[in-house]
Amino acid sequence: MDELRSEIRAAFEKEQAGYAPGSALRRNVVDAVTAQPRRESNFQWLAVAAAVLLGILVVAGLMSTRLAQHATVPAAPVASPSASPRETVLPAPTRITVAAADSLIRAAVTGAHPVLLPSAIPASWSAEVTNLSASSFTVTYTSPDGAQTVILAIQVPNPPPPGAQGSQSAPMFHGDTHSLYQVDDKTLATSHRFLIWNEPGTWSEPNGLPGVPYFLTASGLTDSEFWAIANSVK
Amino acid sequence: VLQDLAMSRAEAGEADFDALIGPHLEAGYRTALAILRDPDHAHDAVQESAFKAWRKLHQLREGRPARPWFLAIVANQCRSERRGRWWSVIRVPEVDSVAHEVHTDSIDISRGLANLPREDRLALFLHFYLDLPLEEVGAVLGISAGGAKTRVYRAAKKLRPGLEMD
Repeated sequence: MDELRSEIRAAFEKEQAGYAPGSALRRNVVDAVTAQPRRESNFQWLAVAAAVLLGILVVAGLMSTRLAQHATVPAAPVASPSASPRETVLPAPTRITVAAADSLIRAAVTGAHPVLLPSAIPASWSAEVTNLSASSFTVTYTSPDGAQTVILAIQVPNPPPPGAQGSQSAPMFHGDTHSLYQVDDKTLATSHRFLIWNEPGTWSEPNGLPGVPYFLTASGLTDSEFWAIANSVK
Repeated sequence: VLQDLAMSRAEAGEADFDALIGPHLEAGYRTALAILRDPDHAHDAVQESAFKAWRKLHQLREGRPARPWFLAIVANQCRSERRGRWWSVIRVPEVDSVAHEVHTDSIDISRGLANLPREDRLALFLHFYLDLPLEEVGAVLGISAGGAKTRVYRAAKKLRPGLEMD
């Protein structure tokens, strides 16, 4: 054990060598810290209270709408049709063709270069474009039977780490050393999986990393099917 | 008089902090470096940990030892940082760049340490490099001294499978 202790210590010493803290570390840290007020300003309660209040208002608003509609049910039929308030809420995203989605995205996303889209999505699949702006988009491709889904987006994702059956690798996709490929459950051939990479280029919303942050995720696809689509982005 | 009293309290606070936490800042930096393996991030983590320690200094005055208390804050800060930038590639110091003058066993140990689970590696670092007693290792890791002993032994056994505990 003593021999191992020495070896471990030596390994850590080698690892730490060359990164010694500056001689002024203590003075600098203490000066910076003690210049701050000590009492911890905690406004979390305010945020929670605001969130609760907002939630109550939303629920009350929805309930009042439903109650108002119930109240009108026994009334005499209205001669002229009027729009239901619920019809004026957010329109549902429309399913369009893959080609139409490509055109829509390429026309709208002008703050990211390059704009990449997969060419290997079968034309028979449908597409749904959401979060469309000058700097980002999310497109969801769905197979005709709904069993397979592919999502491509320009965004900085924050998916959960893999579980016990998951796996991660750094595929150096498009030369990006930060790229990450994760399979949630490698015991399932068509497990949910995703690929994150920064495409060399420019983005109007820099996030501290070079290039454009792309996020490709799929469900119902095998590894080779996924990579066929990933390698077709251009 | 009130102004003088306020001033003396502020000075006392600074002196307290320097006396209590100052001696452990280097250990905090080295712990952060062992976890994050990036000197810039380690500096940031220590600075942020020091801010947290400053704001919670009253907890320390309840009779808790300063070193494990502060190192636990550092370890938690590093865990948070790693979670916050989980996608980034961690830069590992170029241990292999001087491999020509390193014994083969040392290379194996270095590689073994690099491949250990984070908490196992931290336990070995605290016990074998910083020479913290098991009680303090446990306090930093949030486990008992017995748990710390088991973790250190198991981590060491992963590096040397035939290892027998003293």
